[in-house]
Amino acid sequence: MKLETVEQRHKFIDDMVKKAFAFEESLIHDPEHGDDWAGAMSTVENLVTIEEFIRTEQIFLDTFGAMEEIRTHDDSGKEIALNIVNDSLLEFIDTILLRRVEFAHDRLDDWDFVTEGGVKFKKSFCRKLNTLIKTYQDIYDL
Amino acid sequence: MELDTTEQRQRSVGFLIKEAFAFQETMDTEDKDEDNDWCGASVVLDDLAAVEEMMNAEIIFRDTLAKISSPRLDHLAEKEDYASAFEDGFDNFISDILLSRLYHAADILNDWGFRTERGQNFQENFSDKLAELIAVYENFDELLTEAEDTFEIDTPDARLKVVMT
Repeated sequence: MKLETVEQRHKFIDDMVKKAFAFEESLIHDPEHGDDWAGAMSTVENLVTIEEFIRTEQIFLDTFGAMEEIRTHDDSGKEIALNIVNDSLLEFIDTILLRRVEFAHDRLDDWDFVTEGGVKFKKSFCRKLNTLIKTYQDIYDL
Repeated sequence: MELDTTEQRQRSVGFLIKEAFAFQETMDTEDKDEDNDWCGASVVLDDLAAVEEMMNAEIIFRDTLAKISSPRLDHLAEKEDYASAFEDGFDNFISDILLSRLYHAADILNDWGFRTERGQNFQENFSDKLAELIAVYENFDELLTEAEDTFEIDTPDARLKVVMT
């Protein structure tokens, strides 16, 4: 899956939320494997927050776009204003969004799943979160 | 508690997180009713942790707006247009992301069937505190305008302060 645009990344995380939620639901009536259920639930929570942060990234980018559209003869002035926003976007990605993705990954990676489904879920979702981490590091040069 | 600045609001959420943890410690998870109330606090805690991080993003938005509106940039043509475009983005962040998460926290808390007396006190207390935060963010426009007014006090001292930062 391509992840170059924020829309693609948003769709990617949205699919993850849906799948993780479905997995969590499938365990809900399995009291014997409460730990797997708790691991899935904590992942869902993290994914939901990441989804909201990607929407924040989208708001940043849309704002940047709106500022770019402003007509002016003062091109260097526009560049100063855009640079300020760009620096803030980088700070947001680095200190908030990426950190939460890394947190979600590490937490899932540390979780001991016992069911076969849980082990598969962990493997697949750790890989997806890793893909997302690498994507952000590449795109924003972090 | 004053909730006028982001830092004050963040402190308020920080207190709520601590209080929720302290509440959980008093609950015996072997007991069915207390375990139920423990879970209720747990769900709210997830939301509070997210809101706390969102307030860090709010600080980034706020500081960016202050930079764009700074008198130091008065020489830029169309400066007001950039500031107003950024303010719109800031507003969207508050209403679509932060406020909607606070609503979610309040809904989940209010819908949870707390069974013990302490659980019900917890619910009532947190519901009030969340309502206070929500009220602040619902009137965020006013807050922004006030902040801008303070910012635009254009005295030599104020200018110097901006230059120094």
